[in-house]
Amino acid sequence: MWIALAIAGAIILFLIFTYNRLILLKNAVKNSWATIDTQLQRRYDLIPNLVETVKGYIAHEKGVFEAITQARTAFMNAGSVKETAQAENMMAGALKTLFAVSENYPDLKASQNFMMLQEELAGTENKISYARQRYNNSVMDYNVAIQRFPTNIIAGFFNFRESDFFEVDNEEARKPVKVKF
Amino acid sequence: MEMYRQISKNKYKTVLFLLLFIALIVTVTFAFSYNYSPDTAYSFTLIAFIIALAGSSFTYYYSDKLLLKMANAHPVSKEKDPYLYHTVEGVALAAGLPVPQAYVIETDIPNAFATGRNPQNSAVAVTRGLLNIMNREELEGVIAHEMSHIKNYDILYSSIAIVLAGTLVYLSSIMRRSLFFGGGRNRGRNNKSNPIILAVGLVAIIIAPLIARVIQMAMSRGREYLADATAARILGYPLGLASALDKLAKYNNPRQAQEEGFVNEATAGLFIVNPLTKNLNVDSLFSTHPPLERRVSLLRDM
Repeated sequence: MWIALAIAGAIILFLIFTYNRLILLKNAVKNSWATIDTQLQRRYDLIPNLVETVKGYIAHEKGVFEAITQARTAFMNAGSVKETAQAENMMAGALKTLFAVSENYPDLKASQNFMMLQEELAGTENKISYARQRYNNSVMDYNVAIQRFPTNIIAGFFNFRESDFFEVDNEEARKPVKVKF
Repeated sequence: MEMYRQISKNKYKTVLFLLLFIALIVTVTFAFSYNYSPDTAYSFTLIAFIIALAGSSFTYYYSDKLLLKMANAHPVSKEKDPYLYHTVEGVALAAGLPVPQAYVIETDIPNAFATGRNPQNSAVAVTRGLLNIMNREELEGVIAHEMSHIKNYDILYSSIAIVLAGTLVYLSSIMRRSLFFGGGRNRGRNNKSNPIILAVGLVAIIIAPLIARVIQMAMSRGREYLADATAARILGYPLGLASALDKLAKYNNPRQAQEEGFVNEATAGLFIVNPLTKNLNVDSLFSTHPPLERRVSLLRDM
């Protein structure tokens, strides 16, 4: 009689412990996503400033501005992690193109405003990279936890779903950006 | 995959070592109580534990300030050392930790350490020499290794190890003294006092401090492997740290470190490589750090 109670008690404790742990892991994923989002938002907010600064110098480089606008729209419309990752990749490419093109315009390069923006964007890129690594690590911890036995039973019961990694799926997007002058 | 294996392996090893410590204390106490007197044995153990605890508590709480003061480290500002500041900030972001205060030690010998009883009260210090010779990836690797120590609460673990080892040392010392002065106070519980157990007990009491030191060093080495693997995980890139370790080995200079005075025997174990060790590849039971070549090859295989 007592043995049965003890076993039941142990199982209940295990359930509570496991459930709470999954909650923690899930929120770690949310938290690290918020960090990426903050950095992406910051980059998004810096873009109009950047476009204004360079417009005067390289107005005829239409390809550059198009790429940026497309990327910005993609980010605005991104819903899921995968879409955001795709948009982030597009923006990174567009910015790379812009800075590469600006190498040909010494006046632009020397402009204080431009240099400051370049510095800020570089810092933001770095932070995105760190935040992305952390996000992917937290996704891995969470996914592994809900897939492992016997936690997977509890996870399934309470509807814990896998999270997506912050990665770019299609091969096209992974190719290095070709810069045409 | 190796990265995750290293992380869990070393976490288990730590638990094992702590259990070994406790088992050792229990054995020594039992040996004494069996042959002489249980009450005396338990009170000796308690006294030894309290002394060790009291001694370590102060160091633990003020570990960050003490260590930084002893190393002559001065804090960096965003304006004076922006490169270092931004790297520390970035790695903290990747580690999911609050940004620790960054410090610089003005010496040419490259090295680094981390301190602080928890992530909220933590600090990372690097030498000027390290900043000069490492590239971005290597610096990130070193900072990530140090922040891993903070993330894994290694200061707490090593303080626990010190308390347990200290208990054994004091206990052994008290017991030896009592044996020498008090003689065998056999309270008649064991009229036939087994000479073998007596001998074993004596040996245990005498060599206990040595075993304690061995366990403590083994634990320190395990935590170093853990910090390496955690750093690789935080950055998603183990090669920067591997390359940094190679450079650290090249520029190792124990004599100069001794002269410059930013480190002593007590603090040497807390740096990323032991600055007072002549041969960083030595694989001894008493080393604070694992052999450097092995650390590098583990990282390169991750």
